[in-house]
Amino acid sequence: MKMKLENISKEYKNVKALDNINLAINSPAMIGFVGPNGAGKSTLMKMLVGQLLPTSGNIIVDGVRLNKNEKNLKERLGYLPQDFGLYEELTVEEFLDYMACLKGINKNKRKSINRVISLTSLEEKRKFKIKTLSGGQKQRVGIAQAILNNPELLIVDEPTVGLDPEERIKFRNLFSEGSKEKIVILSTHIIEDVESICNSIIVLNKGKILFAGEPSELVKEALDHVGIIEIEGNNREEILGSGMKGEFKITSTVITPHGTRYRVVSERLPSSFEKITPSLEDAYVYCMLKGEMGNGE
Amino acid sequence: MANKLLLIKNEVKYMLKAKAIILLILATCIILSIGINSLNMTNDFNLFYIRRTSSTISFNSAKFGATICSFLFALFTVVNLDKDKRKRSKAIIESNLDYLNIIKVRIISIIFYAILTTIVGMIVVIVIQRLIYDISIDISYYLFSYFVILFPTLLFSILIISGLYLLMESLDISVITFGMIFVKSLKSNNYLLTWVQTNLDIVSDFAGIGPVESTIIYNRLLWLLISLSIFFIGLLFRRRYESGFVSSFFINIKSKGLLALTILVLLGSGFTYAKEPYTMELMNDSDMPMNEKIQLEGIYPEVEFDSENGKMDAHILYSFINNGSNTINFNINEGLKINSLKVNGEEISYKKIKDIIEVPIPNEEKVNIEFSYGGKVKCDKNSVGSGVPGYISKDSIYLLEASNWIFRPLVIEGDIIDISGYYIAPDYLTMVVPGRLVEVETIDGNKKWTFEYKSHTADIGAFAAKYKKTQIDVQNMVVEFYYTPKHEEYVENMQIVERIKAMMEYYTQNIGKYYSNEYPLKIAEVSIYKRGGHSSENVITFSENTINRDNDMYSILNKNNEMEDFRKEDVYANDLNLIAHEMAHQWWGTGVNVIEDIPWSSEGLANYFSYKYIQEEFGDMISSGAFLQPWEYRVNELKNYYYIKNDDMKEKLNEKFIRSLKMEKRQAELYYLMPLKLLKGEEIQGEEAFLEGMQKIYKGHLLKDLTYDEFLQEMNLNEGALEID
Repeated sequence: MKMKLENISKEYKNVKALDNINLAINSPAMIGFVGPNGAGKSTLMKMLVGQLLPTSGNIIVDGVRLNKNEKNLKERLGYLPQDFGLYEELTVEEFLDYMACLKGINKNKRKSINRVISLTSLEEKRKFKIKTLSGGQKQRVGIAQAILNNPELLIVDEPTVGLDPEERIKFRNLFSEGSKEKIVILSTHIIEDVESICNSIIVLNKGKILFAGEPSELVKEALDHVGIIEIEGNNREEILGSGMKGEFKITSTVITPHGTRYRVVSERLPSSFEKITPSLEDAYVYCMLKGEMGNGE
Repeated sequence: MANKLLLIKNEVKYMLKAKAIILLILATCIILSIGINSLNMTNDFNLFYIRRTSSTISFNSAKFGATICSFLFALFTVVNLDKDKRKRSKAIIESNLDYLNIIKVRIISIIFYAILTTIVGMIVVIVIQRLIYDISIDISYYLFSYFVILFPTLLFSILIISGLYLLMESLDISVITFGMIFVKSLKSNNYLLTWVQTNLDIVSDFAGIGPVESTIIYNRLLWLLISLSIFFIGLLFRRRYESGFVSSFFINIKSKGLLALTILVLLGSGFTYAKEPYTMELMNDSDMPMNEKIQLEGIYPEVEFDSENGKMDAHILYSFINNGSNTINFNINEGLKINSLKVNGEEISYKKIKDIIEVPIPNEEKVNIEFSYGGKVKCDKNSVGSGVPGYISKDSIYLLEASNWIFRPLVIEGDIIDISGYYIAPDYLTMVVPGRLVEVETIDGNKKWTFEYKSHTADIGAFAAKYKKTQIDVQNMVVEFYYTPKHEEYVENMQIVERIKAMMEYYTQNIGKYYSNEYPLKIAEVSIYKRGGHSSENVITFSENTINRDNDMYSILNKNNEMEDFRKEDVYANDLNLIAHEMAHQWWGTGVNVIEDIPWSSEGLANYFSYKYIQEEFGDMISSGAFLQPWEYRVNELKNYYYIKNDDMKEKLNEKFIRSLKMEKRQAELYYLMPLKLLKGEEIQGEEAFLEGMQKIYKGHLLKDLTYDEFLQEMNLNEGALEID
């Protein structure tokens, strides 16, 4: 599957939610969309699943414009939106059975349902009404319906919200395994999720792509821009004062027996800082910082 | 297609799991069962204790069910359409297929349940009819009531509310708007607008569905188009891609098929409404100017009824005396097309303005006008169902002069109008002709009924059915009583013939001799599609409810013919009063021409004398409770009515309301105030003296006019004395 976004923009009453987005996605791919709230991630995802039209630009799927080929896309799509509800009066199994029919799964329907129930560890809850499930369990049902048709394009918006750490790992692996032959697009706030499974990361802010590439490239960009410093007593303002005004981003604060250790991301790291190898999270913060400074300029 | 069917199957399956549909089906069955007795639950006194048959049971249950269940199905539909919005599941559902498909699938599934509910409900009512009431089943009535009335109403509700919801994207507003359309249907007199419950009060046992079938089916066709229009408009404004009302419209309008369908059904609705072929606005003759230079001398109708096709062909010759006019206007029925028109033997062209035609005439004293016309008689737009003034159907014919089936010349009438001619109708029908039946000939499966009459009015009716005719001899008078054999048992058990005899005897004794030895009084049962009774010259008709009550009514006449059950007695007394009232018109109306001067009228006199008969027959309690008190109540009610008390306020009202107010006031004065005035006169003079005075007046004015002044003068009364406080 090949998806191409050409000059995509979306405006809501003169506010640009997306601004001239250009992107090419080919399967297999495991892409992580990251960015702060309001960056445009969900808007972009809704466009990719055909639920929102761009104000300008085109989305092309396998050489055909999406708005001319929505049916084809939907047959190959699995989607879990960020904010969703389920038919709570149905049991897990009934809901998946209902969704299987919507997805046009006629042959091996039972087998498909059993498969996703097993993948999402809902065996014990299969006969339970959805209204009796916890938030995390409902999230799992949401994921189960998204992968029910073994989609070529799986788009999941904040899929691990509400899941415990063990479940998160499990689902990360599930998406990762699925991405061997398809496109998986994952939108998240949790950089760790992206770091663990994505071979491609797209950083969005204020409707613009700040970075699109491999996570290692993003990390590379942040080299020499991440450092730590341990400050004794109350000298924090003296040393980090200018950072508080925008040049620095503190990504971690640890209280030690000798004072406080700060992990800082900055465009110009002072010599007093000990430079360290950036994590993906550092790199993301650096990317955002750079973006903000760029806007400021 | 196969996938669509699977989707529908899936939706049907999961709708059932939600349980609401089971409750809906159960509720519908209960409502339909309650509806069996719905006639006895209304304020419609005339329909109490109507005999239960397949027609009444199926129709009453279906109509009652349609009224309540249409709203329930509308609610169920809108709640289902709003489900994904409410549950925040739309994004997930929509990611699998076009949401339009989901909407369609849900609506089709609900329609499936509407069909299922209709079938289940019908079976429940059939079982109740068979097992509880032990009445045999006529499935044709059930199929009509449930699949022409109940199911279409549910279907329209589903489509209308779906369209409204798609248009407004709000459950509350769409339900409120639906409620307004629903109430409009319940309150309208125009049969085209009554999509919920239709204009019918009851299906006639006498005439079957035939006379009203076309109008009901037409109403269903119109509302199918209207509800589809609303639905398609809703689809055109269906919100897309999180866009607003207008943006969504511009996206949806790109679907040429949807746009074309919407335009098609919208035009279809407009065309069907505007070109409705069964009704017209029948004007009241009393509102029309009469040409006083022309006098009608004779009418000679030759009419052939094609009852299979509901048509007639007529050749009518009119003779007039012309005292200096150039034209004669006729009030016509728009359903009858003129084939030829001759004046004094010569074909002539005429002017037509709506339902009036203007015929130019030569300046000669004797003018003969011959019409040839034919077609289907149209009835009044606001009278469909309970006030049809004319119809021709397979099993019965009912044509009142008010339908203008004989074109009505708008001229003054001579003292005596010579009427003679014939009606041809299928031989299985018995015709009740005006005047004297001269002969009956059988010709090729038809019968030709020749009659002649010297009449005081130009009113000519034609009534036919598969009648049983009973001749009642009362002193030297002959009464011909025509009724359907279906109601023979009731006629016998409730001693209707004896009562008719008693009425004749009472009137003869207290008013005077019946006005004619030559023309028998003909009393004919007619269908309930024209409620109440009618009297024109020597023919009176009464609607079937009078002799089609349940056999529970038999209990009110015990072995000694004494009454015992008050509510049933009231119904029985009212039924007899209807015949008695129309019969009294033979004395006051036909025998004596009462010159109307509101409240002075033949209606008031007829009501007074029928009341006197009921009082004699049933005593003061029944006559007072059933007649006197309601008259007084109605007169007081109208007297105290704000817009009547404050005449100047009428200017603020619309014309239609003023017309209806005037009509109500007129009716109250004619039918209730006048008999109260006569009772006041009776109170002043004493019953015996008053009735003696009335006898003298009748004798003195037999076959002549009687004005209010003459009445007051001859009775030694004055207007002030008869004032009602």
